Amino acid sequence: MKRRMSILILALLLFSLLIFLNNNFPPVKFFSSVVQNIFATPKAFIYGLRTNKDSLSDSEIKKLRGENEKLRKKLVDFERMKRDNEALRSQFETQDTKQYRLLPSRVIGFLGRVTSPTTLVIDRGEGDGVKSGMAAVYENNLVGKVNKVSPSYSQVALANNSISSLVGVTSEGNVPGLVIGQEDFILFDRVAVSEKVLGGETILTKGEINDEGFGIPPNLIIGRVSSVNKNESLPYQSAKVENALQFLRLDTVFIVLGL
Amino acid sequence: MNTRLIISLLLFVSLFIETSLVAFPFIFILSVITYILFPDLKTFMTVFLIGLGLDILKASPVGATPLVIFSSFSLLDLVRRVFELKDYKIIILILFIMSLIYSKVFSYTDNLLIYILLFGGSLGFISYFYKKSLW
Repeated sequence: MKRRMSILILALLLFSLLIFLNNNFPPVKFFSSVVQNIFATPKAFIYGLRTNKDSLSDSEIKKLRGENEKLRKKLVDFERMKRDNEALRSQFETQDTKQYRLLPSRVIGFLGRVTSPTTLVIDRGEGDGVKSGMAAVYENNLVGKVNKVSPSYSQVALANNSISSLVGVTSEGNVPGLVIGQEDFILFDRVAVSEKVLGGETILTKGEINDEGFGIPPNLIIGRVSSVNKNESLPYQSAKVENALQFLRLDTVFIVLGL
Repeated sequence: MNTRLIISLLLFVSLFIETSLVAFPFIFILSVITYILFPDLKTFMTVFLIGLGLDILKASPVGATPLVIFSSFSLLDLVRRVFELKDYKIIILILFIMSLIYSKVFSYTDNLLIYILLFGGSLGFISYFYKKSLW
């Protein structure tokens, strides 16, 4: 009897391994697609129970948060216009305004800690044209990057995910650095010690577009510098960056399909 | 009420809860508990299908969760045979360690306090209400 159980476990283990190694097999993809389409709406409803907590918060706080966000956007626009103005005068660089093709997606799940998720699950996948490496945005903020795609769902690794790594720049001085996720916060690292990074400064994406025409668009807000770690004897300095968005409150994000 | 039915319902509900409300490895823990209480074909098939469902709903590689769960069953069997386990306290300790490792590997919440409270509470509950050995 026990031997039979062991054989059964081994058989199911091998079958699971077979499925795991053949995820692109058409029946597996078809089955995944059917299940994901059936469960998309109930999952979105259940996830919505989490994000609707916001409706109970103080209206004054909500109003102030909204105003803060608008002012931050205006500051970023101002800094960019200032640089554009200087660039036009010196004829050194130009900047285009691009139209992005956006795909609205519902957030239906998450992974990571309850208070600070590191991955979001959205209800768009291969069938909707989503590919690994595409950016997920909300207004003019970077949410994260698509890292896993299945027939009808995708996983978006948030900017604070430890696997997330991209090039960023400061809004005022255009100082480049590496934006690395640290689970609870974001680290703006590998900034030359000779450069100036100020507390409260906004960190933007530099832009990483691949040869297929998609990726991380430039000038998206990643977060705000909360503290700077600078040691003159070291070649690099780093800064702790707080997320611009409250990921727990997001129920819709937009995937940048292309430029 | 039928214990098996309750656990099966909890497994199904956990499919929705696990990646939408709380990132906690309910399915892994319930699967191992089901295997300890009811080591038969019905359990294996239920766990296999629920595991596949979880992978699909998390947009993870399909088959990863059943692979890990059945590996855990094999490991549990091995430990039981080698150490001749019968005491539920040791089983809960093994389950605690396995779920911690599982949550770390699969990006679930890794707050140690939550796990200690949950497993400590379960240990206290079983000690008070259910004092037989499980195997």
